[in-house]
Amino acid sequence: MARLELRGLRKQFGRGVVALDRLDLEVGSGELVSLLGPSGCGKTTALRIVAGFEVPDEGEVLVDGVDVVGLPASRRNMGMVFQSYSLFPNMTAEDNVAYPLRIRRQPKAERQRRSGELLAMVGLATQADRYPHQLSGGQQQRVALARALAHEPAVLLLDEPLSALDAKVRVTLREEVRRVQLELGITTLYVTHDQEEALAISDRVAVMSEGRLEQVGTPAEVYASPRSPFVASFVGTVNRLEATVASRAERTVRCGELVLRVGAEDFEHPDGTTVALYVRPEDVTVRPLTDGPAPAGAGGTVRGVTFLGSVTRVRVDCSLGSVVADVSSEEALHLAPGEAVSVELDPRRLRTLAPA
Amino acid sequence: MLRYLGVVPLGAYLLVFLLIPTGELVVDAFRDPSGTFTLSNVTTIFQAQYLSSFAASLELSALAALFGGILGFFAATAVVHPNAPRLVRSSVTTFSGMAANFAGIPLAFAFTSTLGATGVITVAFRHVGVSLAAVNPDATTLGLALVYTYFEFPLMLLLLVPALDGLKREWREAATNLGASGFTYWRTVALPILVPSLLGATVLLFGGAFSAYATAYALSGSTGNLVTELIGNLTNGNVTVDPQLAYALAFGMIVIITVLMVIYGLLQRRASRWLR
Ligand SMILES: Nc1ncnc2c1ncn2[C@@H]1O[C@H](COP(=O)(O)OP(=O)(O)OP(=O)(O)O)[C@@H](O)[C@H]1O
Ligand SMILES: [Mg+2]
Repeated sequence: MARLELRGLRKQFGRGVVALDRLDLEVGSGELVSLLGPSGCGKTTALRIVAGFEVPDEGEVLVDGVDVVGLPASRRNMGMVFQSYSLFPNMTAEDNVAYPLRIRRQPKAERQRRSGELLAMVGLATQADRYPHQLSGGQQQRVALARALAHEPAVLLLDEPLSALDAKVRVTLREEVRRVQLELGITTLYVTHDQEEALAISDRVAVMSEGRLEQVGTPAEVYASPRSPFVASFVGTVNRLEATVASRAERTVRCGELVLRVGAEDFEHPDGTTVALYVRPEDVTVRPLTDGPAPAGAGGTVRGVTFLGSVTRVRVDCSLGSVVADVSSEEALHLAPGEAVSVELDPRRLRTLAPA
Repeated sequence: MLRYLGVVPLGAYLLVFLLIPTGELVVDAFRDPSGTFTLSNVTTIFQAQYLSSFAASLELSALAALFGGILGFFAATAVVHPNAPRLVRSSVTTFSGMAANFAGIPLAFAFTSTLGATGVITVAFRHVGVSLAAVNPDATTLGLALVYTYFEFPLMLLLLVPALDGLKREWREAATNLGASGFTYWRTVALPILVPSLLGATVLLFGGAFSAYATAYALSGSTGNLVTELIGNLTNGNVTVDPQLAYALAFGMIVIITVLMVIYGLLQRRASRWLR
């Protein structure tokens, strides 16, 4: 299995549109790395450069240490799954999957065996002789995945392969992609703008913004320890509160009426500076004030309650600002708009960043 | 029943301007001037003289469809190429819309004055010792086919541009990604997808050339040997008037076009299996 490295990739379109600005990224052998970022940040451009459909202005794409930028796309031995349906409409599912083998002039029996095997792997063994227009969107993308794997490519590239599908199919299919990827142990670069998808299936997530890499890390790292305001707000839902450093030595900040000791992070802001304080909704506790002794939190008023299933999202106005909290839906039964509550933040999960 | 209300105008139109005249024509092909049934008109068209006319018409149409088809196909692929400047596309399609309808005397004159026996190009080539007699539009089938190509190729282009636009960029890229060369992509993906459109367009080109009259007549006058020219001569009486024979010849053309449409239908069915 191969190792993929993107080094210093730069790409400018026309005058002024810098799609990629010195992108560095490594995908280890057998690893699945997601390239995550908002629309227009250059994800597709990066992937197309790796695939050989675009030429970078600068930089290298290394596969096992060998620069492939000069190689035509057809000789890079990569498999790509496109966002929109890219199956050849004039071929059955089986012929689509066998296409790369046909090009490599493999004997017919071998092609059939291999495409049968791959279609079975993506759960479409019985649809082999259907034409693309006879398959659902999800089925088409499964076939596209099988096709991209048929010639045993060194690297698998996926460009938002699920974004055209409905939510439910998207969730099952992303698990399927991950299962197949693990089964084959294939080095994979997965482009998506859906942070949930990226967190769900990746070994590591590379968060991009405006052609640059913001942070690379495991899903847990990126979620729990965002290194920039952009990452904090793009990955997951987060409260961004304004705070002032009370004491650098004691790692404390003042936010509204509370003084909070900040937990697990480097804390290098000088005393008195304004910082942005990030806290996830699930790390906010909201208690009704009627609950026995006066709690340690900031007093506030419930402004909105949104039922999300297992949790309920509660919006509270308090001295910290406007804070959203995810509470179990059972507890939320006691919270109604207008209710006086106390808001607490879990200090171990607080993140501070110099404001952008 | 009400569902068919919308097609009534079209149906009426077809009835009055296509079905009734065609039926009339077919009936008249089997009548003598006094109106009694006869097979003699239809047997006459099997005489060598008339068969050679059909052969000439078929040859001309095949050549014109071939030249126009190939030229139009390449021109269309060039126009829709992603790297082609936008202006090229709009100007070429506008020109084609005009050129596809350019026929008759102006077209004949343009070619006579360039490639005719004393045309400027013919004369220029004669000066350097090259004879263009083989492509003289006034006297050779090849020459006439070139004239027809003038309106056939823009027609092909206009018919193919939408079909080529329908080829998705992802298909080419997927093929390339999977190891196909540009040629392999065309052979295995693009052409098979285009076959139905190519067939349809070629049939139109063929039919257009087969039934064209004004241009050929303008070029060769009453000496022409194409079926349409014969029909013209037999009805307007430059040489002899024999409308019954003209009906029979027209009937022969209808039979040929019908056979062609049947073959086209069968090929189309085969080529577009994947669409059903
Ligand atoms: N062929 C092109 N010509 C000109 N500009 C382009 C081209 N391709 C991309 N761009 C520009 O480069 C930037 C990055 O585009 P890219 O397609 O890589 O974004 P993306 O992250 O994939 O976005 P999305 O999530 O919407 O697919 C955008 O500003 C886009 O407009
Ligand atoms: Mg994209």
